Amino acid sequence: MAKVAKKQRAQAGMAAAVGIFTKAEAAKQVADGVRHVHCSELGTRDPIYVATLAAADKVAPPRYLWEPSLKTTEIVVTHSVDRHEIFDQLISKSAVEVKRQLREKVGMVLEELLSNAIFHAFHTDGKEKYSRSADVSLNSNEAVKVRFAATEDGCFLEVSDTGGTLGFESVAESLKRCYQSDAQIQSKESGAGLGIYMVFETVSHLKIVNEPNKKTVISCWIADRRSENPKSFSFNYFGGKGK
Amino acid sequence: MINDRFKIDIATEGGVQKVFLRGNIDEDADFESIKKITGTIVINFKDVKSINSCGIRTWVNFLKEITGRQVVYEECPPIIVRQMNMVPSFLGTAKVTSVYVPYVSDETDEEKLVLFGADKFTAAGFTLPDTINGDDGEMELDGNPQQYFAFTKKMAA
Repeated sequence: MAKVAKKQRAQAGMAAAVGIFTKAEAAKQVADGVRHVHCSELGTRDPIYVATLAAADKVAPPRYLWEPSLKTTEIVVTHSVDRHEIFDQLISKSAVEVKRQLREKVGMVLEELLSNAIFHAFHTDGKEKYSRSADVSLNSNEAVKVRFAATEDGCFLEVSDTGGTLGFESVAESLKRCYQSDAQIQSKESGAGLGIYMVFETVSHLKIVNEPNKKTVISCWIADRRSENPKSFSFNYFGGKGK
Repeated sequence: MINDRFKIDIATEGGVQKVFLRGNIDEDADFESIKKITGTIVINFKDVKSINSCGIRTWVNFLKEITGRQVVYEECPPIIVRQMNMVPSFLGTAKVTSVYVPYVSDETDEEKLVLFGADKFTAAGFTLPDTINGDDGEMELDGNPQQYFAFTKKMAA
């Protein structure tokens, strides 16, 4: 049982929790409807938590300390088959050598976020427009954007789609199923339903911004082993309902 | 559709038929050819480069189809160990006989995967060296061994 110094608050409709959580405990908070979960030994003094609260009455979500202010490498993806090559392209452009363990984690997170963006973000008549069983060519207004930056401390990764269908309820349901039930894997859906869980489990900081039917931007920080702190984790969801 | 990103080789080693999975396991991976093996199914994961969520589902569904057969996982790289820890049904009732453990040197950035047999990791604990000798000095275990070997708690005895 983790030592929990939890503070729940509702500020301008913002449900936030701060304390020391395991990933499973953080996921339970999200499953219970908390959109901002901050695991930090600094408690309410944690800068990410402070920035989150400060943004409560603002229109735009905050830019967190882990989000790079410097130039990132950007790639636009319009074909599903191209997603397999994207990671190598990003890594080849990086000035910093990314170690194998970190490289594998970033590659996995990128694959899950890209697959979600390509195959599950676009809906027609309430159903997913594209199938995983076929090669997909996105329309020009559906292009998926990837941003990446590597540092000595870890990697920043961001995937944006123009579907805007990743609602909070969907994220919460996914985490609840994967952490709290034996039925982790969806058998009847086109996706396995594990993607968000695998990303949540792997990254140190995760931010989802959803503008319904306009865009979803998922940004994350994957810490290098040397700077990884299991007691430093954040999840922040901004936006309205998706599908 | 030809899947040039994933390949299965079946070879006999020491009188035992082994299945070598190579490449990227995703929704297009087909494990049907493994079913023709008789007796214990030994899966060698050494050359698996990546696995995504749909690949995990495909593998878990395959395991369901061979329920009752004895399955052994060997030479599991970190990418497979992570899945065994995250998605318990990926391991199922399989017995793990060896895994690669990552070591790294902060001084030289050297990285090495070292293969350890099951005598080094059981549900009761693990006995791994904290450091090993690299090409240019000492290397330390890359990661938290408690987390890395969490799957042993779910492993069938």
